[in-house]
Amino acid sequence: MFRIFFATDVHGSDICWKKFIAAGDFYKANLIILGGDMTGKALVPLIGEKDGTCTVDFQDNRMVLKKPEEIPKLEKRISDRGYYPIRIERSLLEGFSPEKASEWSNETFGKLMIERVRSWLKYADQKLKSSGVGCYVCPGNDDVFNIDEIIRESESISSAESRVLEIGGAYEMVSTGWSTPTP
Amino acid sequence: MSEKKLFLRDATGLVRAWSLYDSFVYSALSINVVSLGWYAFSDGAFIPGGNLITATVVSAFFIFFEILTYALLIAVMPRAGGDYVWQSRVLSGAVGYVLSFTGYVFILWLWGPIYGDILSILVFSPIAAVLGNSSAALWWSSSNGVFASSILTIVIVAVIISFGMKRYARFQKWCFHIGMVGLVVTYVILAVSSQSSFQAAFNSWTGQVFGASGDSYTAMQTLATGGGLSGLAGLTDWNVSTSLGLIPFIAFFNLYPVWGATLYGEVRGSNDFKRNLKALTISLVFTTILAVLGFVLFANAFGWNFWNSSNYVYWGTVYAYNPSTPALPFPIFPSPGLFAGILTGNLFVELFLLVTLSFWYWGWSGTLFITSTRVMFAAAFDRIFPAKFADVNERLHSPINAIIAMAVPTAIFSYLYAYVSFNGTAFSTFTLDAVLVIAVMYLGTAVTAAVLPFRRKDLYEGSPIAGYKVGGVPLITIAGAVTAFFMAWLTYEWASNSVYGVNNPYSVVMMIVLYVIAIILYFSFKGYRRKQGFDMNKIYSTIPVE
Repeated sequence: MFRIFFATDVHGSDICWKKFIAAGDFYKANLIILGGDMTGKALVPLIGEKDGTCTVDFQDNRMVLKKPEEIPKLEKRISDRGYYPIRIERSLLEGFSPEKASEWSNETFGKLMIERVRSWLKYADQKLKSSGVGCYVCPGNDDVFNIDEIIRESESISSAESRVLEIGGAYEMVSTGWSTPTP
Repeated sequence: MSEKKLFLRDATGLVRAWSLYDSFVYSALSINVVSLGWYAFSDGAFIPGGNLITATVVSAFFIFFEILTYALLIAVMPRAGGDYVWQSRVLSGAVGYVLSFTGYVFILWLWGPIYGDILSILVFSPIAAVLGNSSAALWWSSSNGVFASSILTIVIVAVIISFGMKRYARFQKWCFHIGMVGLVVTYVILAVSSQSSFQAAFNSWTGQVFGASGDSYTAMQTLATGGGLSGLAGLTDWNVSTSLGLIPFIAFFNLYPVWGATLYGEVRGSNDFKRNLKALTISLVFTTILAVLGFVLFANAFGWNFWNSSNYVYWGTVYAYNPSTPALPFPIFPSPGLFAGILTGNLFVELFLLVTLSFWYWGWSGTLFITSTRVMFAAAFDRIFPAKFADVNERLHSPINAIIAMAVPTAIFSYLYAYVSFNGTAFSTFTLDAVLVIAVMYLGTAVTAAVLPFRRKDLYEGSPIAGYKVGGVPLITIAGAVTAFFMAWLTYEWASNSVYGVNNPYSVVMMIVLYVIAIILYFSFKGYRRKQGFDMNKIYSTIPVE
């Protein structure tokens, strides 16, 4: 029996992506498909204070990190949950004009989203290359256009966007990330 | 540019469908002081020495831990299906399935006629009485009336379910606001009235409506004493030890402030622990205050002994009807709303109070099937229940199959509740079975919460509540343990004391049948899926990260 594992909306979560990649082996699936919305929705600033500590608001908690070694651990937790940790000094944050803030936000999101998708594809290539499990992903309506190109660079993952694909020798799959606005 | 906007990008799915206030209203209606409270408080006279205020406050203390447990669990796993999802992912699929299907689906078949009974005796019967139609008032309290109200309830709830979450939130808010107006006016009337004026008004009204003569007020108390009422605790006889015996009755009213747990998967931002805790706690405190204030005002206006005696006589005639009993001067349920209206002697005010107070019922009625449909959805998505029960009819915007799965058995249970007795034991005396089965499900969820940090370390440590500890012990473990103790104690009390109507053989058989149906369903589906090549154990286990 040809078996398919379908998931969607991982939204930047490192853990969800790794589980998606592991799902083929776990469920003995021949093909794994990610239906869309790969990228996260929020940055979590790790704000450097004058006294050398770092303030972070995450999951309804305000944390003050006093030791530098605490920072990578928290950054991993943030990435696991699907957000993008970003280190920024308090003085820089407070000095933003509205125009500069908007520009910084767009640039940072763009850079971090692409970085994370690249790291995910690298991880998938290591895990899937000799596994015999096929993998399709299709960017969704919450994803930026830039990631289409990056997905095409992968050795083990194929983009399903705007294509008609034959699945398991018996079915055809059509996929698109375009959708009507969410109500 | 606000700091919040600076760190968020434009994307779908960030709009909250339900506000903190919506969550509060849903919770406050789930333990509402009128429909559930007045019904439960009428059992106060059946535990000698039991004080209603003490029992209400002590039970609220333990129910706070239930709220804390659920707010913490919702923060870890905000999923549609609530208890079913938590128990099945942390304990086992079989435990989650059996406890949730009995607690959220099957036992709601019994709740249907209980809702119907409440509609009959708190809404239709008193309205007929104030309109001067005593035979209609008695009919609504009869088996036929309760059956008719139960069927009507099923129809109303089916319509409400088709509203969708956003419209439902608006509907319940309107009901809550109108119901509150009715309750505030009721309380004001009771606060400014005296027992002597009530006695005169009551005697006159029972004469006009039911043809009673003489001092009906005193006659009701004499009837109660003659019927066996003794040891009634005064309003301020706190008696903690004897009042504990009232808690299994009071639980009928206040055990479910977390009834919305199965819906939280549809509530955006629902993993906000502090927000949920705040909404649910405010609801519990608010409802407890309304209940205690009510007791004080009932004692002030009606007289504590009279109100309890009326309740005692009413349930005595329902559950131990003796044809040789003389005609009662007041033969219907002693609704405090009706009594407040009688005090005014004004038909318009009487109708205003009964109609506005009925909105506590309308706003609450949706809670009957909404949660059941969500558990069916969650189980259907897990392929352990037929997928067609998760279908939503596009034309009617309603889960028709899930509603039918609830409505047909509820109609059968309504018939049993209204008409059937087993060797002289009326099916309707099994009312507290409906609470017991839910408490057992809550017990399962409380154990789930207590062990979650150890059995699902990955989930717990990645959750927003990982930092909440008391003396190094996870808060969710402490909250779960206290809640589990309370639920286990309640279950023991119901099972060991015959006053609650639960521990007779027929009641036990009915509950066992429900659990057996759930067990058969679970293992049948598991076997069926295995034949199709699905390993159901993998549905409930977690995919390894690496």
